[in-house]
Amino acid sequence: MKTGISLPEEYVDRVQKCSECGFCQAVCPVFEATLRPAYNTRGKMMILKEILEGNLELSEKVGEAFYACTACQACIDGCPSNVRASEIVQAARKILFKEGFAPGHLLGVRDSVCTRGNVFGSEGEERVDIYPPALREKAKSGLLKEKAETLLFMGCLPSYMDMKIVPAFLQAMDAAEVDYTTLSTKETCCGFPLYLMGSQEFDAHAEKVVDGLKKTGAHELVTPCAGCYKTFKTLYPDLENIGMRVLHSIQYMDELLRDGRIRFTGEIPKRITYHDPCDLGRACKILEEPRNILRSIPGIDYVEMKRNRLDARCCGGGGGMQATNPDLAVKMAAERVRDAFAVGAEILVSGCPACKDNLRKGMQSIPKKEREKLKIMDMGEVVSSAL
Amino acid sequence: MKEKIRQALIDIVGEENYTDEVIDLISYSSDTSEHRHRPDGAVWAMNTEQVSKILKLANEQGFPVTPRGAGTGYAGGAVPEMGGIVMDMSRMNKILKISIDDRLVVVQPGVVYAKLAEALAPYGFSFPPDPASGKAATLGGNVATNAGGLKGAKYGTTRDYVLGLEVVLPDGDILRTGSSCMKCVSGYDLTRLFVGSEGTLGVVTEIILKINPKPEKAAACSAAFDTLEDAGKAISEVMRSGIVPSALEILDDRCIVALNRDAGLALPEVAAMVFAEADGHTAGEVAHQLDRIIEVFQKNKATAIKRAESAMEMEKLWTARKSIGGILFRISRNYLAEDVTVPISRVPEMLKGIQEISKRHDILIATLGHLGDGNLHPNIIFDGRDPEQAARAERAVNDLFKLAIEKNGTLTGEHGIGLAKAPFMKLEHDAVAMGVMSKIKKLFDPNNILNPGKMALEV
Repeated sequence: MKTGISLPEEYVDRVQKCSECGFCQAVCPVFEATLRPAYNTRGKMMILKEILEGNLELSEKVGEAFYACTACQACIDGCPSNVRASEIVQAARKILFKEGFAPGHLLGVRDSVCTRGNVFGSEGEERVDIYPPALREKAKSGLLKEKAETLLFMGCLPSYMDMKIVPAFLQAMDAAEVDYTTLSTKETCCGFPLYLMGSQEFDAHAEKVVDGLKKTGAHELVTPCAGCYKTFKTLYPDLENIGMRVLHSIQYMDELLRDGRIRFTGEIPKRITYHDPCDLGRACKILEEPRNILRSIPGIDYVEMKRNRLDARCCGGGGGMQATNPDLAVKMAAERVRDAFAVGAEILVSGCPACKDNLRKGMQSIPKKEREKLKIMDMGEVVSSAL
Repeated sequence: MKEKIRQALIDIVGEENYTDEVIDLISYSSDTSEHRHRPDGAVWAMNTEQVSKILKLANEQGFPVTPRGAGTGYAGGAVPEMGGIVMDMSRMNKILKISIDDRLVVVQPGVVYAKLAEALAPYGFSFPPDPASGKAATLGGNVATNAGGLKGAKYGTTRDYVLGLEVVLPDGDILRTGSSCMKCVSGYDLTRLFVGSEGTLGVVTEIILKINPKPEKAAACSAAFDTLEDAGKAISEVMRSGIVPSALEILDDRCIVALNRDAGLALPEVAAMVFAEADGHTAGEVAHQLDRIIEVFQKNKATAIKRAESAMEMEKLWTARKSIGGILFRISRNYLAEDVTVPISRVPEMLKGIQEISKRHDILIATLGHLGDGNLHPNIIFDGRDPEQAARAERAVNDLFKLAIEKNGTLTGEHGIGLAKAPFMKLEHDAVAMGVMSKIKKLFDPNNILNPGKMALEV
């Protein structure tokens, strides 16, 4: 029997300190959607204890439990014993991936990222198809600009899957006269999916990406993707060391707004609510900037959903869930959309392309007669439409 | 699990509501207690009819069924000690009726306590017991364990609110107990028999709960006492004063030190801190009660009295009491949360006795408690990796139970007997009482299929 997995000692200690009180059931979105204790944080800790004690071998089933997690981190604050289980789940995934017990779907994603540089297995050339025509031509010939103050890092989802995020983001940057460039066709995935699935290739991948970032000479990296932001900010070696400040586009637009470089002239006479993406809210504590922006837009009737900020309900789109269990991801998203219905919102704004994509799917999954009129938008889209 | 039984269970609940996958069996092997045993399978019951069919099958085939809510219990009540199946009730989670006019709600057992609180809040009503695990615990579990909480002294426990039940008996019969009336003395009080029976007599599938209007105002105070005697005298006098505090909590010196060290609080390091809360419908009513409580505290040498009236002040004041559970969890590896209860007047001597036990067995015991109802929570904290420490912890627990019974107290005020306290049942109940309990068990469950191994019922 394969026992004694190589979980760092500190983590082993924390697993043992899980008192199995079950309070995580109150905050775990996967548990809420499935009511299956094996998918809850406590269940995962119990499974780990059995593995550490040599009563259980690693298997695909064990993998199933550990990949049934959106990495939303809600179980960190909700834990009386301070187990910080979210980090342990990630460490366990690393072991499971190495031993070949990660869900098969993830291997395809891994191959796409490692060989094609994006999660979809698309061509690098196609990354700039979403740019406005004039920029697109320039971009196809390489970097937009040899040297610029700001590097805009678009992310895979906005580049390949979303029609609006990139153009809106560029429009806002142009309006503020930001001196920017992009990696254009040479941009590659930040590696977050590799990290989440537990692939050891993440570190090497990150090194390559950093080389590319260095070449731009930019002093700040701004991305509209919450996952890319969290990755650059918390999982990469400190990019400040290469003189690069990392910002999410929401933080950046909030700064531009305060500096008077963005001015809202249009009105949006709508009731709007903001969904805190886990990677921005709980993970990076970016909570007030999005609200500042929305409250500054003339005409907006801003409302909070009942669960907001650090207590925000995860949309279900993170942690690789969209690849490993898409139906469950959508089920969770539908709950978040219902939260927005409950406060009568007409627009649901997020700062994460994965949230946006998943929330839209969640919306579509709600039976028509229960569906309210609700638009799901990225923050950049809202900002650019109010310029 | 025999293939024939497995298939029969699947036929009843459907493929999607049956599991014998190892990850599920592990997740159903324990609750918050130290006890652990894997079941052979588990089902998610979706309705009363399924529960009935499953129990009938179990009764005929002779396999154990352990009903389970959220699994937040401390006594091992939901641990499938004899294998068989776990019947997870958490998917029967509908609030079937809210009737403010009749002052009641009808719920399925899988409704989480906090969800009911949320649903009742707009009406200004609540189901008061407020167990500490209320965010996760289910109402079915509350009923099965007769759960209590911080507000027991003024508002009682789950038992005081259960008007009626739908219960599936081991032979599959569906029993309705009680009524939807505020008063009902029609026949034996079967409802009370099931409340706190820990899933050993039947499986609750519907609950009629009385609800209370929620007092709009509350205020609180905290006070430090240099000796346990002074704290004890103060509490007795509060109880004689005619005021019934909505909460009256104590933290002993071990708790205070832990809070200062691990939660960064700056509490006075005295023998005990007492927290009191008064509630009511007007600010005047609340202030009057709190004035009286503070007077009594002062008279009994309390120091560092703090009064909190605004929501923010209240939150700050309660931080210490509310953080203590988590802080104690973090001190060492293992944690036995006991809940011995004594008559209110004997709380001070019990607290002293607990400290002597701690000293005698050289084991950390941090005690907090709900003073208004004599319900103490001595928490025995140790590192189970050290067999010597574990043995000392066990001896301390033994002494603790003996002491509680000597003081005319009880083994458990709110957590239940389950597995953890089953070996001590005879300490509290004599042969006659144990005999009657066993007969009741046999009457309902002659084949001992329901949650076997609990409460020392098998003779």
